[in-house]
Amino acid sequence: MSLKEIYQVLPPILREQIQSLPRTIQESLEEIRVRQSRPLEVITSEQNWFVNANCQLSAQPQNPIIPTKEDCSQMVNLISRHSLYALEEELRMGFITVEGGHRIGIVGKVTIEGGKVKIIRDLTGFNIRIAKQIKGVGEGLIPFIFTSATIHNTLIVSPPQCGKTTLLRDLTRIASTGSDVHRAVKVGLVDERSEIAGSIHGVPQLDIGVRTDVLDACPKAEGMMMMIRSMSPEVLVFDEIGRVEDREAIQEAIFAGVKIFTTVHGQSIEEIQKRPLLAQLLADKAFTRIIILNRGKGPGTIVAIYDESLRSIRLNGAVGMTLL
Amino acid sequence: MIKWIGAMLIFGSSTWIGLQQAKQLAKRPLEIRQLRTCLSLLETDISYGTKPLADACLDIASREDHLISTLFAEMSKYLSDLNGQSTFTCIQAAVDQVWPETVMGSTEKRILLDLAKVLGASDRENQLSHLTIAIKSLEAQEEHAKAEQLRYSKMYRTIGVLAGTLIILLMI
Repeated sequence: MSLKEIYQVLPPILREQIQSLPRTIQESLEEIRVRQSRPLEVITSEQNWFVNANCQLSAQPQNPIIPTKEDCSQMVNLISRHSLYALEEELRMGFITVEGGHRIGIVGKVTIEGGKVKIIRDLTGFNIRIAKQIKGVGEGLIPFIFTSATIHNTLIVSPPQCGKTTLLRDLTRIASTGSDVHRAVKVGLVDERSEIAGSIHGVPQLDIGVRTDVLDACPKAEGMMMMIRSMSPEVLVFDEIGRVEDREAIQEAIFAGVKIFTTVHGQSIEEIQKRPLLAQLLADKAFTRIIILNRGKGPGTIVAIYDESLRSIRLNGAVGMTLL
Repeated sequence: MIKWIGAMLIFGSSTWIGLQQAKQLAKRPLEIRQLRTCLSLLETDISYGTKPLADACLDIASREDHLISTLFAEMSKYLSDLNGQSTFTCIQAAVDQVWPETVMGSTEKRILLDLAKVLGASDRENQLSHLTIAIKSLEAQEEHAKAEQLRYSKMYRTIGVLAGTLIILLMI
């Protein structure tokens, strides 16, 4: 994995520090957290570390590297390429997608206009989330989701940081590229948080397949309808369902004969059944495959796969395997 | 004979200096207008709001010519290459490099650098209002430069001729 795009947005002093971290740490980096006047922190898949002088890492800050106001303003210049005006929308949302599909979460002082967030100014905290595309993580699931005749409506259920988005991205890629058991289909991706395709100016930065059309930063429910009207997708992909209008849009889409891949935060099938929105969808048998993930054996451990009647499917010992 | 040739040379060069001075005066409003046009282009780019400053400058450089083109090309170069230095530092570097070759004065330079202090660092609305102010100030400078040209260019030309004549008369 290349961190080149990440180095490009770090001010020179911090860049040096991150570049001289041990290779093993660099390779497992998930987040770099820069907070003005507070210790520099890096988070790997195992643990969080503070970066101290001489590139020493420790769980508690000891003589840590402290990003200054100057560092933060340089970082803003690098991220925005001297053009904050071009990032108004992103600053309202609180994150910016940079080359390579990495996302930078931003906090600072918020300016309000008419009761709504207008823009974040005085940017003082950055969370660089390193996008990791792991191609092939979804391949183990091909027999469960794709058949030569059809594609299953799939819901991925998992707590945060368990590889939900990574898996969804790979399933998108597989659907639109084709596999041994199914032909490549037209995929419509509604990427509300720019997380799946990591688009910049509408151009996907990550591999989401050749036949995938992306509607970037668009609200899901509206986006689904736009996609169905304009792009005739065979599969619709979107992240994190949760609002009432999402449910209506899903029902509309399924009624229109479009297949759906989506995700939701949750621990288990019992838990998501308690939520009115999902209970309704499950009762309607909207999803024919429900995949539960956790971190049991590392990120992306498949706990169970259910069918539309919520019966657990066991095939070839795939349950319990880790994808990542 | 040689005396006459010398006299002609002196007369010629003195007239030429006068003409050059007049030309400089005529060039200044032109350059200011060019700069003003560039800022208007930048205004359009910013109000549309998708193009980073460096790209916008490069575009402007390709649409204008001569020194103003060089100025914007340099700005674009420094903005992309200076590793997160402040926007002001980047633009100042370009201005310092190109300005001595232009005929524009210190007021125009100050207007541009004042703009550089806020350029890129705020939301669209704010950027546009600063650009409007800069353009208005440049307009005033242009008017001023034009008035100066009308008043002095004839004078410079005449002084050139007269000074040449005077030196010759003194030397004879």
